[in-house]
Amino acid sequence: MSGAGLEFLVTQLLNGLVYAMLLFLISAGLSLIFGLMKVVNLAHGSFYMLGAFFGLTLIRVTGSFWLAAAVAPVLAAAVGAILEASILRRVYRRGPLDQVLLTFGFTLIFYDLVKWIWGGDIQQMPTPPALVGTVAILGTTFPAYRLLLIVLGFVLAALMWLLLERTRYGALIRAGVDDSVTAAGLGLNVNRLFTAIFALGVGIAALGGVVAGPVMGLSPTMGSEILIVGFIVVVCGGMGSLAGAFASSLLIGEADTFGKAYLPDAAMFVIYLVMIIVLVMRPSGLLGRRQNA
Amino acid sequence: MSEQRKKSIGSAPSRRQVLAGAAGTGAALGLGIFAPAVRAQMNAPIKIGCLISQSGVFAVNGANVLDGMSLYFEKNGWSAGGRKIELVKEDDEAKPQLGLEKVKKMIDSDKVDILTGPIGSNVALAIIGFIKQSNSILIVDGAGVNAVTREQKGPNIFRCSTSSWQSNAPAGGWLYKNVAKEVMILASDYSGGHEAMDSFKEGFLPPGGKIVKEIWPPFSNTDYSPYLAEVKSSGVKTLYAYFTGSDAVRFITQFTEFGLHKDFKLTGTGFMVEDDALPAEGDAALGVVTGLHYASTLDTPANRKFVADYRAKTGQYPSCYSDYGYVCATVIAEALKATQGDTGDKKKLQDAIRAVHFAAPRGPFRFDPETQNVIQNIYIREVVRGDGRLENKVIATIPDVRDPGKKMNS
Amino acid sequence: MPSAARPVAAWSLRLGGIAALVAAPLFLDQFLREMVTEVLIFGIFAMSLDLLIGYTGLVSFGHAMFFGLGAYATVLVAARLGFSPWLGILLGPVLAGAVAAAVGYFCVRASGIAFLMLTMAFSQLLYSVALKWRSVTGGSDGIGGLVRPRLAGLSFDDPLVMYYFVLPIFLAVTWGLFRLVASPLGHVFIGIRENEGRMRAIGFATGPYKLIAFVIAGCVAGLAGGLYGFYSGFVSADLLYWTSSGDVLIMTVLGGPGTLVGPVVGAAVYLFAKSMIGSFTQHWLLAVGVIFVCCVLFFNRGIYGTARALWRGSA
Repeated sequence: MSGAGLEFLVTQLLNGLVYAMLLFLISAGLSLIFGLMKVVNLAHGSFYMLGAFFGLTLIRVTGSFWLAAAVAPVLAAAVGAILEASILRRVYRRGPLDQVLLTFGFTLIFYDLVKWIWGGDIQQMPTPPALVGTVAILGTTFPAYRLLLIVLGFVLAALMWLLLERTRYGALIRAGVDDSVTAAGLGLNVNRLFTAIFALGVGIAALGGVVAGPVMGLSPTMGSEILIVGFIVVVCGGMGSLAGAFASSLLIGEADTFGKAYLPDAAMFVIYLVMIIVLVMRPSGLLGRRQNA
Repeated sequence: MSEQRKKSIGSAPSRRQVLAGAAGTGAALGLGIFAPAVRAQMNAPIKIGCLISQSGVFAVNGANVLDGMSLYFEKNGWSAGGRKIELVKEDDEAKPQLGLEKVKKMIDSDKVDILTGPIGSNVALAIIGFIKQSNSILIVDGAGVNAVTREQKGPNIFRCSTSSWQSNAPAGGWLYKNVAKEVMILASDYSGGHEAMDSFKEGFLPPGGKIVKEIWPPFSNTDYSPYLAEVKSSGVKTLYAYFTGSDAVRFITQFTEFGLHKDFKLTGTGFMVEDDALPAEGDAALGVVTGLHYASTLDTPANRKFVADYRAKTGQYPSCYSDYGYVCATVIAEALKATQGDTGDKKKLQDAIRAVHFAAPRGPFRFDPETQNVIQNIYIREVVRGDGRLENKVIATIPDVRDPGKKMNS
Repeated sequence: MPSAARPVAAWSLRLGGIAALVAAPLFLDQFLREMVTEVLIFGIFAMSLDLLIGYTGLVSFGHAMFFGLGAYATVLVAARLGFSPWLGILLGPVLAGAVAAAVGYFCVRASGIAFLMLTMAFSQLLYSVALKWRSVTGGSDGIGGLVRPRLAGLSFDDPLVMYYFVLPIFLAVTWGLFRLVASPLGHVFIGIRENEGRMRAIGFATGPYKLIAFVIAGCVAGLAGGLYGFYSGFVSADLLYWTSSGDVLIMTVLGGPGTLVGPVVGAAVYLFAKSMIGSFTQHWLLAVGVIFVCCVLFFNRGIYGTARALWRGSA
């Protein structure tokens, strides 16, 4: 393979990893929220968007990207917690479809509010000055900030795995995912757990929004755009499975990136086709847990 | 003679007198009844519909157009031809379906006298059918899609902005002679991008130019990384690109973010580096060579005044979109002056618009009576650091460019 | 109100409603005539979704694909192939129905959330085709240029003519759907919505019935799409995006699922909010979103459903 060809492959591989990490940040929370609460959170993309716009304002006010990246997800998670406790909780008893409709209604409201407060145009978020410029890596030059994103994604995945598998909180969450009725019977405050899970899930998505800012730009439509890809990832990876979300993010991220380069007209089609095949064959996803009919 | 003297007071009125009397009464009555209506029409404000983008890819461009338009009308007391001017603004969000809905509303419900806009070529194509069907007067002050003044032209359709051909074909010829004989092209995958590249090919290929590769990112795209990776593997060192609005800002910043500006020469259609985008692009845009019908650095009395007034109003330098709005407003005002405010006679108004010519900020402006597209200069510009800001320095001028009205054989 | 008088009251309301629909455009300006035509077209679309959601209990988030197919069929046939638009309008439901059969076969095997996601995925699949197959569909730019025919000297460019063309179709579809849901087949649908397990227990193979509902709904949506293509003269890939499916879902839920009339009311509310509120403030979507959330939370019979319940309750 020629040098130029190899460099192209490496660059695209890295591009795919960047996108995969962003997808993971979205899909991790989405998958957890479905796994535990059986809620299909259509508003998940809106929290991604909130994180980005909160981050933008924080950068403008404080001048620090890192501060914004730390604070914005917390703010978005707080919004999520309030929403869950006050409104979403009322429809749990009604079954999944009402939840879908409710969260869909939220997307409309969030879209309009964001457009109202921050405007309808597509805005730029500046790359943190420390990470401007390229780095020579694996035979190609790649933007430093995007490399950081890749690292961040892996670190977060590892942290989440640790949280779920190695801590008491994680055990609680897993118990709730596996059997919330028994867990409640054993004294687990399911309400508070649900709120915490929802807040955590949307908080991670919001973090995704902030760190995606310099790469993807910001606009009021960014929520609905990322949501649909997030669903593809979650469906293929298995609803409720963190490992599945990670693996699926890598798959979809690379497929999308290489697809744009080699099959620009067919890439999108192929990805949706994969989603359909997975849904038809295994409605709970490739690595997911079996759902009751 | 004696007969005439016989018609004296008290005798029966002659037929002529009766007719004259009737006519006189009729006229008096008519004026009395209709005068208020006529006066009302003469006093009613002229509604100018503005279909622009206030969100989406072209949001900033839309704001520029409105600022340019408002600037002109403010300087002229918001009146023309003796009547007040009122703007009706609608947001098409750069979506064709939505743009069509808004046009229907402005024409059927708001009853605008003249429609202006849109910015996006995709929206222009969507509305042109309805414009022809309703026979409304449209002055395109944005979209460059050639069809508007070619296959779809009509006596009620004008363009005061620029056609895709004008923005790209002459530049193509100039680029072949002065920059590179082989290029790769990158453009947004929508009608605007496709037309720009077709037009570029009409100027670049006939003298012997070669296009080595074509890359088509989607319209309204935010992450260009997969496409930029292809640039490196293409084998040529010069690019010709077409991106507008926020797509342009993102493309240029990422082009530099990936370090491509060090090894590749970027050229393209001027919208990419106009004054609406330059502040956001920053130094990433230095050295980019583009062709366009305007540059804020043009040293003419009309432009110097325009730039000063625009800066006083908005605090920013005008872009070509600001010039679109300003010129459009000038055309409307001049036409209304010629018809003395009469918007009832559509044909008279159309003739008046067609006849408008003046020294615009971009240079001499007039309509081509064949296509009703603008005839104007095209400038080749390079982005340099001026005093305190990035600006487009004019390095060549191609005067009096007229859209050929049909596809040329390339 | 004595119970004997109730059917009379109901019938006079219905006739009054129809009379209003027939007479209304004579008093409205051109733009409002177009608006009411759109309400009728989207009313048909929303009623078709109601058949799925309100009567069979299948919540689809991809219904816009059938509407979009119908619109593309009409505009392509007329603008690109040069045939008469009438053929296009007829082709709409046929094409949509065929696709609904193929898509439905896979979707109805799933239920609940999986069904929802499958419908979403299929409609996005079709959206990706519409977006990328530029030579046929015009991509994101769409296709325009449908020339409306003349019939007996009347031009369909005239909003009034268009309205009186759409109205009988609307009334016929409404009547047909009411007959359908009252029929034995319709009762099977409702039974599936109430308790699918029980239906199967008493011997109904629910799969084929769900498929039938899906195909009928798809055909009707395709008809609405065909009418829309004819009315608008323009179609683009946006019609198939998942948020368009969300829009018609709003109309159905807002109006009142399971009532057939409700979704038409919902369509009217949604479209008028978009147009009228949209003139005063840009935040019409916020208003619609809040009302929608309130409907889901408190008034899950929708606007019409709640009104009807109140009226019946007072009788």
